[in-house]
Amino acid sequence: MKVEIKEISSVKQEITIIIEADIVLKDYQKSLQKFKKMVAIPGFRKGKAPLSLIERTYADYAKQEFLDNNIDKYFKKALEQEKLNPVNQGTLEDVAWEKGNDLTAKFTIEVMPEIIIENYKNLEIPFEEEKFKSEMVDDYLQKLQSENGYETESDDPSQEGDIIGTTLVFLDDEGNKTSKIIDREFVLGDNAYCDEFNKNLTSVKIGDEIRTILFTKEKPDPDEEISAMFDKEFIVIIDSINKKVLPELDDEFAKDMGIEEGTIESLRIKIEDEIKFNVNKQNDDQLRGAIIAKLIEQNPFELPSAVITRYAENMAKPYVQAYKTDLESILPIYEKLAIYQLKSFYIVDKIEEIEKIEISEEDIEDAIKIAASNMKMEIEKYKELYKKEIKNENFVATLEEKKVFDLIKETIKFIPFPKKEIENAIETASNEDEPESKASEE
Amino acid sequence: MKHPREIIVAPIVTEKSNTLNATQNCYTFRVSVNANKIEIRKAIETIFNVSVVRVNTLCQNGKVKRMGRSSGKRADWKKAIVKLKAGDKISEIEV
Repeated sequence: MKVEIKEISSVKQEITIIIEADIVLKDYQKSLQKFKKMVAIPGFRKGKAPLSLIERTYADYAKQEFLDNNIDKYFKKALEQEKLNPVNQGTLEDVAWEKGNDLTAKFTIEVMPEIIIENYKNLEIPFEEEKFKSEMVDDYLQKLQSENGYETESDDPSQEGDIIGTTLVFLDDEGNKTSKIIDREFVLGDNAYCDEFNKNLTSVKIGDEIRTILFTKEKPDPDEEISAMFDKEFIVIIDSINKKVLPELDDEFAKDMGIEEGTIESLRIKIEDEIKFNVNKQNDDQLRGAIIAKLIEQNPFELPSAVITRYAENMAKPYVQAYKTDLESILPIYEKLAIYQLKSFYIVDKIEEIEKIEISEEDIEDAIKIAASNMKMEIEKYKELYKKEIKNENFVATLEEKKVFDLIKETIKFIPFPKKEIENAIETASNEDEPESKASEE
Repeated sequence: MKHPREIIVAPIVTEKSNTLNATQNCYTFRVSVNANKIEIRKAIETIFNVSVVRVNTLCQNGKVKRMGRSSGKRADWKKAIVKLKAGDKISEIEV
């Protein structure tokens, strides 16, 4: 067997297999013997017709049967002989054989490319760290306060933030009331209706009837029932006004929030810790994303389409099952994600290999300590609770990956975040425009 | 005199004819019902350029076939088993 390999691209190869005539003939005879048992020729019992007659009668079928049964065998032998490891099943492009001659078959296969990672140190990463601000604690407290507030009915005039219950009466073309009415409840000043509507409904009382438009064409209502009624007036009857009462931010509130010390200061400290932890995590995730993006950009390599499709299909399958959608329609979206994830995986893997990164027992212990302290748990208890996860090879893989990123982080050079660059560019552009516009006015 | 192609209608290739061919160098043909052994011998020798040693013939009655209420009969036909001289072959109908 002769095998010729031609490289089409870094991930695609064309394999030409040439099988000697005598080997092919032997296999052909074997195939004919099998074929003989399947065909019936008039004048002969099934399986008793002579081979020559079968060959003459069913020449094309016999040849096809032989190729179908043997071409895969030749392909596998060729792969073994050349020690090739394709990532797909291989596509038969062409096969040529006449009885008595050599058989020639052409296949294309996809292989993993040789991944060369050279640029992973001294990377210039566009990244700006988000910093903790004390306002974040205030905002969070306000949110908590709002979530824990309660509503009370009120006879006072409506104000922004009040929950207003109304009946909307539809009007005919002449502006007279019709029998069509619908009920709506909304927060004054924080709803989908237009500013004029919110303004007209401020300082109204229960029982008032206000003639106003609800929304405009520019800012339509998402409610399908009335979405066509833009720029049209309604009579709005005020049925109820509920005011939101917010709890005081005091020690009592802190106790309600589950703070053992029972002081508002302790609550603030707890919130601050949580926000700091989240900000750090968010920074880490974003930096990691930026590093991966830069690594992909700096170390370009091609991926076999079979690998991408397989990975994307695995990712998309749960979605397809859950939403009963067509796999083919959503596959392109997942393919982009698959390329990103696969590339990042192969790059990190290669850096691990180059840097000979290994995880010691000490590293594992340290990781457990950090994880336990994050979860505010004793180390032994954490070990017992996550016994399976710690023993899983993914745990070590995560640590290896972390080591790679730590290594890259040490040599990173941060450059301004593109968002600011864009803002600066816009600013400069607008400054440049000004004199021109003034000139045109003149 | 009949043309040799009118006498020899078609070769018969079956499991039995195949065995006869392999063991006794005999070839089986469907022949004209009116043809006699002498005519068959001459026709075979003319068409295939071989020497015939012996000709055996037999008449096959046509099968009666029914099609609903009406019944019909297929034509009777004649079969000839021709033994050739050792070494002679008819490659055209060899299987």
